[in-house]
Amino acid sequence: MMPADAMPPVPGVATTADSSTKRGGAAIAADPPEPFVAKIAVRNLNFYYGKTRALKDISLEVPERRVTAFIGPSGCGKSTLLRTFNRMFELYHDQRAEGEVLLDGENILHSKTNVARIRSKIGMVFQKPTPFPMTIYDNIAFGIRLYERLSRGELDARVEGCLRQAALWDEVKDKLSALGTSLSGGQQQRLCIARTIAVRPEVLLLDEPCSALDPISTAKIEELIYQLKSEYTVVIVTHNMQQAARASDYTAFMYLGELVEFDQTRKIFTAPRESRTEDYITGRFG
Amino acid sequence: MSTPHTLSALDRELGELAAAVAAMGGLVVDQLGRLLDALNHGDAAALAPIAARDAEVDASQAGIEERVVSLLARLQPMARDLRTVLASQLVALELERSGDHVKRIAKELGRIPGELPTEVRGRLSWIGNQARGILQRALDAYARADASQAPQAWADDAELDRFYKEFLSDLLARMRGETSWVDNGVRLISIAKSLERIADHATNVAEEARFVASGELAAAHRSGP
Amino acid sequence: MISLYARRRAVNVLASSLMFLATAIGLFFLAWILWTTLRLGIHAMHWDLFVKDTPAPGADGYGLRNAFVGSLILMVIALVIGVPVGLMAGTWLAEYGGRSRSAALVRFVNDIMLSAPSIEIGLFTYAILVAPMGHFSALSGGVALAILMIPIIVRTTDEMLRLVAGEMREAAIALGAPMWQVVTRITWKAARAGILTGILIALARISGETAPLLFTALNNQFYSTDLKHPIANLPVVIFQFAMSPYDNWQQMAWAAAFIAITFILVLNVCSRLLLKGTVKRS
Repeated sequence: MMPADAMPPVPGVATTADSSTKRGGAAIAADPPEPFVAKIAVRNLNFYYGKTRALKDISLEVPERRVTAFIGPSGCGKSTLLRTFNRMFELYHDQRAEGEVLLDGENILHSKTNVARIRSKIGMVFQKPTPFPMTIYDNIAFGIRLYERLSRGELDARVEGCLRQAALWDEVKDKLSALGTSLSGGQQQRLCIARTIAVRPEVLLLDEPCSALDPISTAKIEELIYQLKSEYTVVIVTHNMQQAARASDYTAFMYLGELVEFDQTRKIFTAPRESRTEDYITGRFG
Repeated sequence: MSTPHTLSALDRELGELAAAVAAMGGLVVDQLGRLLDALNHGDAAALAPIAARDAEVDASQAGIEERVVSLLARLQPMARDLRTVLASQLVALELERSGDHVKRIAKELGRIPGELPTEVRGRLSWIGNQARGILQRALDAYARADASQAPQAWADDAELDRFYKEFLSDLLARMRGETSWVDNGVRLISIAKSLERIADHATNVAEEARFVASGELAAAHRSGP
Repeated sequence: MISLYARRRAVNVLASSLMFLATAIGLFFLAWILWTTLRLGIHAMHWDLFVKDTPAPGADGYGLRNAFVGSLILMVIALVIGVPVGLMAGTWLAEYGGRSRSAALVRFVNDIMLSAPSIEIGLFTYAILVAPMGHFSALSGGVALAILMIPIIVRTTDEMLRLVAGEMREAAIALGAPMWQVVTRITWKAARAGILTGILIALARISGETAPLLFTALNNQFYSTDLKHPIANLPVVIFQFAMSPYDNWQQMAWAAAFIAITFILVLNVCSRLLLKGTVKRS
């Protein structure tokens, strides 16, 4: 385009090529890169179910106080990866992990690392809502009592705080002594989230938390995730790509046990680098 | 992309959208071609039908917009598909505006009494042909989702701008000398400016092609001040 | 040619009829047994049954107090031994053993125990308790019944715990709870109704057992609560009295049978109600 002063001015007629014709006069720079602090760092992680290698040399950094989504087709290893973060796989004797998963620099997988302490720092919410067979109050108090001795008053306040944070308080404040199972599916899942944050973890692992819920309950959980990221590092495994797009800041696409691409969610969903990601995101997977 | 979507409706509707954009592009290029013919041959009678036909261009744009909204709402395209749909909307907008310029030029030409000097007609025609060339190539690039055409479009557009500016200053000089030329001069400036704007829109289309292909936002690569 | 649909319908009608018939036969015999016991038992019902002890051979009068108390004591012994052992073993199988080879072996042995003839259990108890002690005793009777009870409790506890969603267990472990807390505070609670039902079924099963008691608790004509000595109990009383020549003894056998069958019925209904409650909640 020509500079305006190169033209002799003619009153009443704009002589320059009107810049409004071209969209966005100034170049819209991409957002400045956000400060990326790795909360969990995965280094060369391999995972085996018996002899089957389910994760292949995964290396990845999960940013602190952000929502990171793991997506990929069934069996791609996204849940497996999540379950290494709190050593949940150790419950099953034929499963084993090799490599490093560092939480603030400490290797979670190291056999000398105290599992209970790791699990108090890394909470997990499962696909199916799993309220314990006890009252709503006790569901929350169960985890707290594992780690702390609180007076009744302190405990009450803590339970209320967690239920408020999980956006459930108003719905259950009059029936704290009702069974957790008496709640609706969406409420049960929020109860599980409240129960998990009651232990005051630093990381929240969500394993397909909305797959058993209706759209409204799903939206409430997603909103909750959005609220929670100001305090917690959230990792969510989801089958629902729209959910990953809506709820996460970073997205990792996994396929056949490999990490194909990891980037900011807006990049993954608008212009992924890898064609395999592109095919999956656009729905071209056979 | 060779692999079909699991959801065949998405493939079908993206195909229909691309066809609609291509058809609209063809329509605008054809309008511009007819306009340039009328200019070259001094055929005043051809101008009114060209102006009237702009309604077709507007209707095409409305149709594309409807498709885009429906596609976004129902099928939630992602990644390249999302870029394609968004770009279709923008390309249609560029084409619609180009169409408006064609219409405006047709009307202005109709208001100029008598024959235009051959030299003026030739220079206008050059600008118009250059704009048409940019648009044609941009639309082809868009249809192929070819990013490589954008720099060529920028270069062509810059050349056109230089030519346009020269034409403008010559025109102004002449208007200063002959007051009888002022009326026609103002109309010619308006016509030339519209042609120049068509070229700008065409350049934007080339940038949309680049956006579809690479995901790089068009505005981020715009050159010049 | 008969259409496929008509054929299917015919097969369906035939199968339904056969199943209906089988059910009817089963229910008929059940009703018959209940009716006979009721008819003859009601006839022999007498308040003295609950306040007096069994009369001596040939003596007049009615009384089963010692047998009721004896049966109760035997059941309590069986429960005290059988419930903890069965519960623990079942819990180990479900929560710790899982699909391991040792768990599979334990389950296999337990299944054999489930179908072992009760008289053999009696003989076994005789060999390990009665013979060394030198005489029949309430304690050995209770042990024999406990041995019968354990496999039932193991089996139901194992099955009920395995019905508890694995995710619930994982959720508790993910909070950092140690395994023993997960079991005692989460999974036992979740499977509570089912486990209790298993115990009730086991109780119902042993309350009618006669054979193992013949070699262990034997019988006692008199009121006794001494665990080291033979003790009266309903099944053996029914067995002996029914075969006796005395009219009042035979009558009492029917009354005892009626009471025993009512008890078992009540236990079964209770367990049904318990299970129904669980199903509704989950």
